[in-house]
Amino acid sequence: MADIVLIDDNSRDQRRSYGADYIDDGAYSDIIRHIERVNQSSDFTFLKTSKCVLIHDSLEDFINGHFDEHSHVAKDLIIHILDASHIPYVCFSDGHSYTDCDSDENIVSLKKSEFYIRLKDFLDCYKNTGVLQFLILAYGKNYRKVLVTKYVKALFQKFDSKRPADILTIADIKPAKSGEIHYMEKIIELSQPALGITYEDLLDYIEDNEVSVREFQSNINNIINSISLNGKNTYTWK
Amino acid sequence: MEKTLILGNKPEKWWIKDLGETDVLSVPNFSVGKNSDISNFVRELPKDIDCVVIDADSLYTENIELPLDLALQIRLMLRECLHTSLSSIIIVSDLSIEAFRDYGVKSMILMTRKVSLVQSEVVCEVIRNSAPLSPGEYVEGFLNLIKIEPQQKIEGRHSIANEWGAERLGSVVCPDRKSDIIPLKTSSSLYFRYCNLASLNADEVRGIINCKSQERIESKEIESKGVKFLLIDDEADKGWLKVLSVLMPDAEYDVWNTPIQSYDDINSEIRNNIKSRKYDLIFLDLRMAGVSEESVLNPEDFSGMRILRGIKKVNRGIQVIMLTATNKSWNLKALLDAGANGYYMKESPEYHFPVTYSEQNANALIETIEACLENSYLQDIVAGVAQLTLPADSECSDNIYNQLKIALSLILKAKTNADYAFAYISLEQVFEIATSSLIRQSWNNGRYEFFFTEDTHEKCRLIEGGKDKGLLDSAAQWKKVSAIYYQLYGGGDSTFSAKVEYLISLRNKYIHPGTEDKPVITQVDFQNLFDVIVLFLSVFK
Repeated sequence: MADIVLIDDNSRDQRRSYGADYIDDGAYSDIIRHIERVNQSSDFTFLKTSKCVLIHDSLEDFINGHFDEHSHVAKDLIIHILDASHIPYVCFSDGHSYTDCDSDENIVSLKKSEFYIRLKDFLDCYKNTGVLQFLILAYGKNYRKVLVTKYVKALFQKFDSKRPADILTIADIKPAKSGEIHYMEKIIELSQPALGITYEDLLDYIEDNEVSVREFQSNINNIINSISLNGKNTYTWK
Repeated sequence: MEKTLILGNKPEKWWIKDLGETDVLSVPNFSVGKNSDISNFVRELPKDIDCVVIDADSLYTENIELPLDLALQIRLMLRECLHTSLSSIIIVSDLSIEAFRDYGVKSMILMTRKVSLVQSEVVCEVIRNSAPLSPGEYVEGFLNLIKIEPQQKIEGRHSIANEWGAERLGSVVCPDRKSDIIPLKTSSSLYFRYCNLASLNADEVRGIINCKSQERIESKEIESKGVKFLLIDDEADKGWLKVLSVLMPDAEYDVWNTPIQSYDDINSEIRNNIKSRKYDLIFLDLRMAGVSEESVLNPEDFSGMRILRGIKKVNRGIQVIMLTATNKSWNLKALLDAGANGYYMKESPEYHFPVTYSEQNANALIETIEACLENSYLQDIVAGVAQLTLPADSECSDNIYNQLKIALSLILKAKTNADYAFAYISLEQVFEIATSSLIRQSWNNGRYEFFFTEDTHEKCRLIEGGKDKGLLDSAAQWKKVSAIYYQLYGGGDSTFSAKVEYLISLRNKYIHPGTEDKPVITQVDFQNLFDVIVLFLSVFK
């Protein structure tokens, strides 16, 4: 029984245009099941045995032999079942222009073209490792690099009034206010185990030593370089 | 230092202060992929900048590729940004260059001339040494170095080619309204912008930035009052209906845009309209089944070909212009052989046609439409032939019918005055066939049955031994035709004789011009002759 369920009306055969016709060809039929035609009378009991559901956010109900663009009852029903059963899901649609997650880490907004471009890598990852890596759907195969870069950029913005030769302080790195993301902590998490230094160790090091902005940025850039080239960090903090 | 503009959200940065007085423009939080929003921003930039500095690290954090997007749009929006498109572009970031890799063509901008990624530590020196691209460098160091592909691979090609084709036609037909033809989202895509520039040479780039390009702004229109056309195209909403409506502003139209395989798949209302000659002109797409026809090689296998054959089967005279992205001569020949009256080659973004080609292509379409509208009467003629009552004698009837077929085949393909003349001469032959057969048959008891007594036609009659034996076989053709008409009809159109005399003399003057110039015979003359022949043959009912 396939663990992943894809529910997409695919009414204009868009899967083909996105180069995802391998779904219809059955190349991944052992791990993914695809469903195109549903309405509020459909039997959704199969959802409860699935490990995750990938659903078209604008899913049209199939009523009296055709898709009704004004009726989306089945989609709402499916999301309700998934929320109640705590089954993770991903909502994709042409109408979504950015990637967003809800508090349960479900991806609730993803552009349809990007979803289909990344789906194969997501399925390959699951086939090879048994892990449902939703970050692949959200950011692509090289999601570590995307995330690290995003965090590094935000981190650098915290001290961008300093000149390269200026000395960094802990205040430049730690969140300025509660609720702000610990960018450096996130970077270090994504760079383990090779980085060889914890967040606390780093803060101690910066507190005890005179680390210039230039030197710090150089170390951080080595992490980006390493993840970019190897898919994961292999650089050890110096 | 050249004229410099900084795009960034932190004017208080130390290196901006070091630069001294420089314009800093803040950049909104554009979402990834929102090309139309970015291009709207870039469009508003000053047109005379030598150096654009993009402070990448101060821009929206979620969109890492934004500085690359901005750089690419600045380069690609040559017609809007003018000299600024040739500026030296400096992206300032303390992130590693690796952070900007893997963004496809956007990353490729870093490989082109005079686009650099520099750290803040050295930016002031780099800016001071910067210089804009020359037009030649723009072509060699940018246009020839990058290649932008459409985002969607298969359906995308079909769809994009359609939108591109409509946009190109729109750029000639209605340059002032071309932005209305296809959605802004499409026209502002990187691919469309690239395709619009890809064929330029250095002189053309220079002409654009110096505002010397001779872009027309007046629209082209075809006289279309009373015209009704049918557009059969599954991509009609990709700009084709709009551009055809602009081209024929007073025309009424119907549209069929559902993908189909054959003529019978069209609904009965439109099929009835085709059969009952409600349309003056049909525009028909060659690939009406969309993506599934990408790999078709045999022209007979195209849905458009099957639809064309269906149309021509029920209304041979209706004018059909094929809309096609194919550039295969064998496809076009097969379509014309199957009865298409012309074609418009939808320009493909894959072939970087120069602007002059778009103009020629659009002008050719306009000529084709005008010719088709002039020939829309042919469907009445073809229908008229089908409804004719021919003489009872089967040999005569067969001969007349065959002669009509020859005349029809000539007129359906006629494009020049000589073509019309030969179709006309062929049609006039119907009189010869009918009169000689009828006069021969009318010999009865030593006299011809056909005669009449009006003075003007006395010479038609054969007098032997003082006896009036009727119509003379060697009489002038127009007299024989008139004699038969008046006798069999017992009255009828009193001007018939004069019309026949004129029409037959026109044929005679063309064949035997003597020292005179040959008269010009037009489709109107053909139509008039046909009407008179219909009248003449109607007497056999």
